[in-house]
Amino acid sequence: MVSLSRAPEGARVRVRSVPEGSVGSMLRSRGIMPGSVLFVVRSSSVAWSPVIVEVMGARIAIGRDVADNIEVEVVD
Amino acid sequence: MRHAHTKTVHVQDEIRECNDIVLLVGTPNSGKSTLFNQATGGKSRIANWPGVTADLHYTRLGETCIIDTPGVYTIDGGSIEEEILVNALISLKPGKIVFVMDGLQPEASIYLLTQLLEAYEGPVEVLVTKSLLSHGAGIHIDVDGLSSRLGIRISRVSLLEGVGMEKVREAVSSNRAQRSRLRIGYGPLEPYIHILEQVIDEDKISPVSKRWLAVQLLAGDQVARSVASSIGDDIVREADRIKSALASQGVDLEGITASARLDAAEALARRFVVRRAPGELGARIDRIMLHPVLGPLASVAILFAAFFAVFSISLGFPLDMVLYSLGMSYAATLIEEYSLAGIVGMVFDWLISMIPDQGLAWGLVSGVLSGVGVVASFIPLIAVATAFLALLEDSGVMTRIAVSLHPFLQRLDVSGRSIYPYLLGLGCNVPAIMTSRLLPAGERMKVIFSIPFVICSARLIVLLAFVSAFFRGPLMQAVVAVSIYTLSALVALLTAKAAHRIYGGQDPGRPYLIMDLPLMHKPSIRVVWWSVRSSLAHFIRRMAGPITLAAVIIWLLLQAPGGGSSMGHTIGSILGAIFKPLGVGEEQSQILGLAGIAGSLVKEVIVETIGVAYGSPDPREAVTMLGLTPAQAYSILVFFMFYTPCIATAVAVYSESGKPRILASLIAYSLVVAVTLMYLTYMILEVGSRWL
Repeated sequence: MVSLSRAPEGARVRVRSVPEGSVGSMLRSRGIMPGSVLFVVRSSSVAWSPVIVEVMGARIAIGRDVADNIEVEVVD
Repeated sequence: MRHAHTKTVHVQDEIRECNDIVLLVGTPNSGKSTLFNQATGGKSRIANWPGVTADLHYTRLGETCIIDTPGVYTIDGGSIEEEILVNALISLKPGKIVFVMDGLQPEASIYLLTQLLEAYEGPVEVLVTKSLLSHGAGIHIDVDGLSSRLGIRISRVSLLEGVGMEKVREAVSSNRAQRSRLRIGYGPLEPYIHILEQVIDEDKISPVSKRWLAVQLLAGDQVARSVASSIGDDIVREADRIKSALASQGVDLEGITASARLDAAEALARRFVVRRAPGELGARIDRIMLHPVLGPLASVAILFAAFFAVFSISLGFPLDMVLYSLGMSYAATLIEEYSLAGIVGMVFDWLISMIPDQGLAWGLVSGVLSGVGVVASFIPLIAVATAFLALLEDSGVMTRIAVSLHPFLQRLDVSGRSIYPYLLGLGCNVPAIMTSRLLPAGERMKVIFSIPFVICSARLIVLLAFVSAFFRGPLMQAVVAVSIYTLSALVALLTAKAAHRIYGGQDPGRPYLIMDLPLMHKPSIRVVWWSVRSSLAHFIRRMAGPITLAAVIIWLLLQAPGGGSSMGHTIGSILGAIFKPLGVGEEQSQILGLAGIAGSLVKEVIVETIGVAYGSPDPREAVTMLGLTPAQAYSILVFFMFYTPCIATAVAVYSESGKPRILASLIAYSLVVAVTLMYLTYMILEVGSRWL
């Protein structure tokens, strides 16, 4: 299990947990919740760059600080 | 919860006489609002930001009421929008749902649709939007296949191209919509769902399905829980009993239900949606815009290019400055004269010169004309600023800019999306405040409150006149100008922070980034035009009247009856008293006070008023005649930068915040900030110069 910000670009990952509170409900409302599968479209090691994922055909940019708190496991 | 509920009750009162209620449901940006507007002939903005429809909008079409619900991705009741939708389903009991499927994001729409079909047992009709665009983006939806699998009617519309309008009206009014036969299985939970279904009274929640309510109760949905408790406590008790029993066995209820739904939706999407690689140009732009280093650089470049274009076309500024500094003053004058605002100004000067110069009638007419002239001068500016924003937004570029600049702006407690309003503020505060409309409510108030502290181009004229009159040498002048801009940025940021404390509500302190990236596409001229039309209509309907009125009042105050001292002069000398502690002479104080009063009309008039007072045609020479020391000049300049928003900005703040209280506190706050900073800078500069 790793945080979404450490998942490699091009990986398919399954979400294990998302943070609580308003950030969590914002993520859930975009279809990012425990169980959903994300495709990591873009991710870099540059400290400030956001992570871009694809979920259900939508591309979503997620700030680094938010992605740090999303736990995922790499599916393939 | 209460918020959502009052909305629903309100709509219920409004639609009591409707025979039929049709709900429009769809994901954010699905084109739902556009469809709603076109089907009803109404005019409303469309933007690339999610959640434009925060309330329920409704309209009547014959005996049918159509209600536009807020865009959502799920109906788990996790957000206000989802609560509004679930409450609308239960308490409005719609006879039909028209579901709007986003042709550019069919997967997300299918996910929402499967949930809706689970929850709602009435007839559903689906319209697929953006057909031509989605085709261009390489997305293909097997509409017939999906339609027969779900057992409901699905048809394509393309609103932008004007194709399929008859289908929209038909979907709303026809009786052909069907009930779906979709059923999602929950494996090991099925026996428990069945037990719960037994205790739910179907009639009380129709047209919402009791199976869906049972699943939601098991998954821990709070809205479902409050619905269930309103029809019987035994349901909630039974659900709690099952949940605690299953939890003790280590069953992850939320996980099972979520993945059953996701799997069902993904299976449908895999079967009926085909995506080819996105367009080459869009992908290439994304490679730059989403690059960690190139992205922010490109964003800054695009924003400055837009800023330069918007204001050069409408005001001539800052292109005129560039030309002046290159020594091409003739070209610069031409640019100023033939900018859109320059042309409008010439027309009004000509009109005023046509009025015979005599008596009270002349005074009144020219007063009103100059007021209308102020209003007219803003029209090209607002049109061009809105057009550029719409271009950036509709193409998807604005979202990329917001995403790439977010990490840097976040440190200043500002989100990536508010950069456009702030940047526009450097040119003119009025369009800046008007374009803040695309921000979420919590952030908007802090942007509205702090933008008046961003130094606009009118105040730049005052700044330049003072700097060149009282400071020697280009280096010294540059230091003064830059320090004043830095001070303005500091004041604006601190004000935003304070405004957030007071007006921010429950919005989390530090802005976080979770943003949909719409596909890049060629912007549509019609969408741009709709945006421009809507902001001009807003300006003319809500703001033009008050601006003209205030302009006429100030103009009349400054007119001296019978050669004596005008009311404006009296107020001017009262305001002038605040300059005396700086050691400014009696006469100069009075002139500065009068300039301050006149400047509340339009800021560049500050310099003009000083010119008139000294009877000098060259304003810069007139400013020199004030004979101020550098410390006095600097601190008075600080005062003039912040002391009050001009009337057009004030009216914009009032019309966008909707509260006179906000405007009153802004004006009081500005005055306090300006006076305090003036005295502070004077003391620092005086003490500093003695030490040196």
